[in-house]
Amino acid sequence: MAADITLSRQATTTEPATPPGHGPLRRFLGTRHWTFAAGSVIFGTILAVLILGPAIWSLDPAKQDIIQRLKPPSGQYWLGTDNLGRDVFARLVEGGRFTVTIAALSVLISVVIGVSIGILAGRLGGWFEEISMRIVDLLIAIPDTVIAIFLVAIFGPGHVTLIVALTIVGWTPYARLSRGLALQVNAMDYIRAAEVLGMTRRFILIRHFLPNLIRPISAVTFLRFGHKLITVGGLSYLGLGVQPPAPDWGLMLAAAQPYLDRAPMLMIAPGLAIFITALSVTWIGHGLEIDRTKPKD
Amino acid sequence: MWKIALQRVAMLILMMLCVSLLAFLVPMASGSDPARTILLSHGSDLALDPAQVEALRRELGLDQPLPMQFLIWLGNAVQGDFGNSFASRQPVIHEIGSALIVSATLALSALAIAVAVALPMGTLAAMRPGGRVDGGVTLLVQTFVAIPEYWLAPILILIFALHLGALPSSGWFGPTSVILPALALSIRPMAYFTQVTRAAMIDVLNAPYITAARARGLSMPQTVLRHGLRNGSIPVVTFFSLWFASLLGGSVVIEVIFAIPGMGRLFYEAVINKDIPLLQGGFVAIVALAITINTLADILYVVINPSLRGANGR
Amino acid sequence: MTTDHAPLLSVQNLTVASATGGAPLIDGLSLTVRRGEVLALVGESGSGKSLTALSITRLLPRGLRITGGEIAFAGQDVLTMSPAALNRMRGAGIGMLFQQPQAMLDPTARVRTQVAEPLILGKGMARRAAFARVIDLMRNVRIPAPEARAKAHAFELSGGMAQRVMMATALAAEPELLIADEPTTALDVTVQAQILQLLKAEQARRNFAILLITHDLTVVQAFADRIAVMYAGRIVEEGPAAQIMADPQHPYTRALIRCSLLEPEADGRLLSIPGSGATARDIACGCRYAPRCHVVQGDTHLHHRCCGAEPGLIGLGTDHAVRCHASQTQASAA
Ligand SMILES: Nc1ncnc2c1ncn2[C@@H]1O[C@H](COP(=O)(O)OP(=O)(O)OP(=O)(O)O)[C@@H](O)[C@H]1O
Ligand code: SF4
Ligand SMILES: [Mg+2]
Repeated sequence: MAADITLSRQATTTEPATPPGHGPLRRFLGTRHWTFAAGSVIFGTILAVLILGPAIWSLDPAKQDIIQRLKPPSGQYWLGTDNLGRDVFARLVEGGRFTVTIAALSVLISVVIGVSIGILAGRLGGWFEEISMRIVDLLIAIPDTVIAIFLVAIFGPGHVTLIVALTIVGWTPYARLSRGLALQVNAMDYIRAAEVLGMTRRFILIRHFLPNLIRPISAVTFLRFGHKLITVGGLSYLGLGVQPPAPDWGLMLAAAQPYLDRAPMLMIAPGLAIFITALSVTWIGHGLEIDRTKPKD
Repeated sequence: MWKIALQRVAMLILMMLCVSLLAFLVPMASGSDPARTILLSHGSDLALDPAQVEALRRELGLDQPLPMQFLIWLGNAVQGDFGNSFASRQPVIHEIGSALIVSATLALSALAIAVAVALPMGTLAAMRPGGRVDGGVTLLVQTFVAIPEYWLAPILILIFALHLGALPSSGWFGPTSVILPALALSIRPMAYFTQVTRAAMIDVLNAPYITAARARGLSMPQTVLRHGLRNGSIPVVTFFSLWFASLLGGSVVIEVIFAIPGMGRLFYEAVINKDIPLLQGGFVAIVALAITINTLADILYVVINPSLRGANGR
Repeated sequence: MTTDHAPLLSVQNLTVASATGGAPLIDGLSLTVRRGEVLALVGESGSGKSLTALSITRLLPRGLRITGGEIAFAGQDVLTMSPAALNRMRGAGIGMLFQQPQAMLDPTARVRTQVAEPLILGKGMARRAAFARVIDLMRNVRIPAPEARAKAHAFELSGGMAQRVMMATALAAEPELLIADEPTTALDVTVQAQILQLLKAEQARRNFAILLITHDLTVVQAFADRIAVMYAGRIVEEGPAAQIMADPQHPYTRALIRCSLLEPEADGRLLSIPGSGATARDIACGCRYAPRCHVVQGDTHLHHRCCGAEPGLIGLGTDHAVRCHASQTQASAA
């Protein structure tokens, strides 16, 4: 009975009509906005290439060949070569492993920290809530890059610094969101109803609180992931992130700058990689969000 | 009402104190010796004379205990004196002042472009939520959000500067040099403004006073222009201020790409050169501006929305 | 075409439904308003009165559609009108008042900006002349200190004052019809009386017609010429006000009159109609009122008829019609 009472917008208890075609995957994708399916497929493909690529094509991102510098795309070099005659595709795959991993790690750590602080703030209240929310306000007011650069100034550039910096600026949205949800859940009728019915707090937490938390958090996580990816690339571009010779997407873009006119592919390829990856995760997030807020009919 | 205002001001001061302490301490913690850095940046020979270093340390007050150093530094900072830049030997406050004007110009140009596109686009999408236009606008917004501005910038340079030769590819010397960086910077705020405008306009267009305006014989465009946009732009104003604060110090990459002597590049160069006074001054200035602009945005929100004034009993 | 005998507004078999389907919210509604008369449209909450008003001016909210019927205003077909003609009709032909006057004013615009719109945009008047006229209009609806109020914002007005502003706006372009959708429901009792008196005075002075929507029959008794009673998306009784108030035919009308005119019961409770207000969506059997009708209860023969088929609108005398099997029995028995 208590389970029937739902949070007005978050919880959708609608049983989706089975779309044409069967199987759990079809059903899963069919109930969501098309951007979710498209984003998942694109992002999945990118991940597969990044993970399996080096094994399949035996790529060597470091091999230099001065005679073959700044070559246009060809059968041998799918995306051409850079100013040192290195294979751009190989470097793109290798660089993507850095960029995507750093962005993913920082997002994951941000989620864990943000959600913990948010829930604690919402449930505990008092000075903890006050102070943590003031810090959130402050961090949101200051531009991300400025905080990140400031931290790099202290700890020196490198990918560990990068992850720390991105986490420090990145946890705030999750804290706000989960604090809001915790407050909402505090006030929720079904908590009281379930308590009256003698259910344990753990049951309430698992059955009601977590599902209400996971949906919006996962949507925001994907939406923020794209943004994070762009920030990682930006900081590497500035030479504050991943250090050469590791080929990060942002670094590749920076290195392409002097050869804009002669070898535009050098600039286009890594940027396009960031763009498509960011777009695909944005689509996934959008699909999750749409599904979450879809009015029940 | 005054009590709330006072509380906010007290909070602002407290926050700024914390930020100042951070700004002061952190470069110290980075382990570099300012005296050595200065001498290295000025001197030509690599072997430093220890006596010279010691003399400079005393001159800079670095032989004092840390709390004392902070109080002296803070006292000066409050008066706008952050010392001289190690690199340029100019007073930090002057460097910041001229960089701020540049960054403000760039940020306002970018935001003007963003708003000019976002308002009509968001409004059009809101006229028929879920319709074809709305779907197209949403797709465009997602695309814009995913474009790295440091990728858009070289593409714009490639097209407009290198191929067409219509606009300068870098530098800061007049209106033509603003266009490309502003365009590159505008893309992300444009996306978010469109989203905010759309959401606000959907709410507004469902409001009773819109039906009432239509009932007075106003056409849909007239209604949107006369009663929709102003109400719909209220949340956009808040957003605008937030973005202005953010772009003022945060457009580092674009300023670096286009060699624009703005706040972001100043700060970036301070980091690269380990220019501690500039780093401290820049950080404090950017944070102070961001917090102030956010507070002003709250006030502006009340000004543009007269019914809030009524609620506060002016 | 528009002779004096042709009605100013004629609605025939109007059907309104949600775009997503489902039973219609208004189902075959017909009514006419003649020039200069006051027609009261009465019915409880959810019966579809506001949707009727919004259909007439083609201002239904997004998601609702007119799916059938005809609407003619001053001899023109409202359903096939061009957008421009519709705007002209709304601006100059029909004025509207609503239930929540304050919500109907743009919170960010000054009062005079809004009152002047029908004059500036509709009649092409110059801004300054229009603003001067606004002061007159506001004075006409007895707004004290109109010069100051003209520059005020909606939140600075009381509900009664806001409704006067709405009235000034609605009457600015001298409309032939005023649609007033529960114009006093949200106001204090004393203010209600003032607004209604004002409405009556203005109507007497300028001789426009009024479609007055209300659920309060005391209002109706005071100044309607004719009454149309609405139940679950349909008209169940229509006729001259005096006749209906004196001798209501439909069981629902009778219950409504008893509810709003009778003193409280001996135990101090106000009489209410048993059962809950039905919308056109919950149709039980033939007659929509059957589940709550006291006439049909205990009469097995009638019950059979009432549940079997929906009663048609039966004319009683020249100008009075009712949708009830019981009254048909009475009529044919008489
Ligand atoms: N936008 C809408 N979408 C779907 N249904 C609606 C919409 N607006 C109104 N309805 C439904 O249509 C029915 C009639 O509504 P309407 O507002 O016309 O009632 P009313 O007679 O004016 O009631 P009240 O006295 O409360 O104003 C109600 O059941 C309502 O729930
Ligand atoms: S038709 Fe029958 S049920 Fe309906 S109102 Fe008349 S008597 Fe009542
Ligand atoms: Mg109504």
